[in-house]
Amino acid sequence: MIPLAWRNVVHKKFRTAVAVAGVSFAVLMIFLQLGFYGSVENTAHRVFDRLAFDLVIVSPHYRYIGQPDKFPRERVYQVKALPEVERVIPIYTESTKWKNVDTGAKRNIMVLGFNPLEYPFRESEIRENLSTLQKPDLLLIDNLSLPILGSTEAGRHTEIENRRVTIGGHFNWGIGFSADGIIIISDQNYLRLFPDNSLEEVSLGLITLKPGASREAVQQNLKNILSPQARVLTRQEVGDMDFDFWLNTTNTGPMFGAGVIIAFMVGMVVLYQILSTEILGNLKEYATLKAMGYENVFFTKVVLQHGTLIAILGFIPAYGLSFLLYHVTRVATNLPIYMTPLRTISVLVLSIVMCTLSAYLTAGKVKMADPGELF
Amino acid sequence: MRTRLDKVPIAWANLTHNHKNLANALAGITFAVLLMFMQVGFLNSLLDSTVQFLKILDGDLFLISKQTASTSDNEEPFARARVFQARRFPGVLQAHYVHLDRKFWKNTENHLKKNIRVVAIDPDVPVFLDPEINSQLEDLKKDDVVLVDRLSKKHFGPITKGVRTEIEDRMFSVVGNFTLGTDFGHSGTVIMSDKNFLNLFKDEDELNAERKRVELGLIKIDPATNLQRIQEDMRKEFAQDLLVLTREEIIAMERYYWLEGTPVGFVFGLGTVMGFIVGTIICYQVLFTDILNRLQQFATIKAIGYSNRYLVGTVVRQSLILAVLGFLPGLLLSQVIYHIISRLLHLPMNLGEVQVILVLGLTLVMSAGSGLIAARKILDADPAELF
Repeated sequence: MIPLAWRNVVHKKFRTAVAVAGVSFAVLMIFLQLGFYGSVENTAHRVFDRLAFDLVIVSPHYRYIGQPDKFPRERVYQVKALPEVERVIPIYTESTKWKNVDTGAKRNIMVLGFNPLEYPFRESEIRENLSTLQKPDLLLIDNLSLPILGSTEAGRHTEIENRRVTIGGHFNWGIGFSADGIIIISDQNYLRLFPDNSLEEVSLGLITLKPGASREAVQQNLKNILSPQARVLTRQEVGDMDFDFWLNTTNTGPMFGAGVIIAFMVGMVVLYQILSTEILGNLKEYATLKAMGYENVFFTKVVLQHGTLIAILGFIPAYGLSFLLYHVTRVATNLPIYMTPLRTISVLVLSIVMCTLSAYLTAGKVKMADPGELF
Repeated sequence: MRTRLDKVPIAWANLTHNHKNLANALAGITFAVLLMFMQVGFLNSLLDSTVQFLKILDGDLFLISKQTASTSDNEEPFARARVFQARRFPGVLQAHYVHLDRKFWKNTENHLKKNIRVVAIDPDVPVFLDPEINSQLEDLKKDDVVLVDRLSKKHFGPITKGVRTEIEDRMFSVVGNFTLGTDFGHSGTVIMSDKNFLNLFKDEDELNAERKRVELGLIKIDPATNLQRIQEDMRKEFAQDLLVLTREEIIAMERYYWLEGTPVGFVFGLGTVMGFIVGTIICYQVLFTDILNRLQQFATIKAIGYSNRYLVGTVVRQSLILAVLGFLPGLLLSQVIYHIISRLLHLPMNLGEVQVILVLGLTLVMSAGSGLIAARKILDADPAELF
């Protein structure tokens, strides 16, 4: 009995701590990579989450919010005429460069323009700045743009398309990977900045239905009316198109996906390795129990408890640390990286399953053995 | 006293005695090493892919607008006249320009238009280092023809020689291919003559503006002259609107832009740092536990009367052997995955020698460290208690 006692007293605690640390960091890596991948997913929905609509009209060449292509405004009027439709708001977007007033360097930004008399957002954040938007060459800028855009204090001047513009106010969006920042302007300022563009060419048509109208029926009806010059999509469908863009056109989505796969692969092997070693390392204890006459059922129960305990002990610090790393990433990049309940539960369940399964499989071999041989 | 020779066999025999334990420990280290290599690989692919294009250009000095932070993500134009001015500097052999732009390429299969990088050059002057491109410059002189990067992404549809498709609503023929690869700003590239490029601008004002501006200037210097001096002179002359960079400088600037200025650079950077921390901790965990599981063997050695030094030496040696045995398959596995990702995404995935040495070094340091700590426990213990 001395070895058991020795192990228990002298190094059991340290040993357990080392195993828990191993599990914890493997789980942390999984959380980190899932967070990165999630920020790509969030990017796809970021702008649409702020816009109020039941259905959206887009060009047949729509790729993603940063490359929407345009369709004729007549389509907007046509849809407005339908009895089920409450309103249709045209949105004008453009990609352009923002001049960092401190360094002079230019960065890619997205421009979103609309008629200030037709409020297109879900939240009232921008409503208080509507009067600002109506002034010539005044704009609102996302506070969560990349810091590299330079100072974005209200009242500061910069240049867009060689035209002097003034920052009139702020909002808090954070558009992820789509661009380095986003500004909101009135349709009149949109024309001032992009004199070659016309308000007759629309990027998005935001449809709000009257209460009680069936979204499916209207969408079906509109498909027939608008095809092939324009498409009509639900919130889910347009988000899926943006996500598809990030996943299949860019390298960002697939590389972050590869990161997730690697983290899972490594995590699973490491969890198995740790638990397997843990059980093998405690072989004598278990053999002793067995020799003392305990049933296999009891033995299995102890092993499963062991696995669960280590999984949970490892999960807790990993969970805490992942909040810290998400926070660090958000502060540095303004990427939309957040913990979700689904991710929390999935990773917790996966860790417990992996740990208990590894423990159980390893213990299975022990169970088969003659107690005498285990010493 | 034992001779030096039979020390290794004890460590080795001890390791290989229990196959289950050995396989377990090796798997742990292999995957920890794999994690480190994969994270480094992601970061490398970002930084290497963005400079691929610069590396096929032939120039000793590069001219870019002061407002350009990256030639692959936000290239700004400057006056083409600057390139002609550069030709007048003593010691300058040639000065040429490159137009960089993005245009819509129509996929001939599904008719969807996708953004593609357009590189427009004067086909009479060789601005590329790539012999495959240079051998096809003559073909580029025809009307409405392009060379297409064969590593452009699949969503562009057919891109082989003979394909006819629209670029910005103008019909083009593919007259050849070259090999470049994608990066995090572009999913495909075409090369065309500046004449054909200007034909893409239908608006008179736009055309006149485009005619006078370029995104990149490439300068060849007489090898007998002092590059630095010419660079200094040009910097003074062009200080108002241009940056004059050497090859190394423009490549460093591009890498810096992606690493420090973009979210994707931050993510891969953080991933790499965390990959190293996690990989190192897992290595430590695996090696430490492995030694603890072999305590009795070591206790036996101690009880027989071997010196502490011998004991510590054996423990550490055993740990080092395990580290190296786990490291090699980890390295090998990472290269297989690099290859797969590279083939799928048309991205470069490479590993620098320094990085291999760094990961190996970390693994070895962890193994020695965990060996020493575990050996300490053995030495502190009464041999009798170890059984």
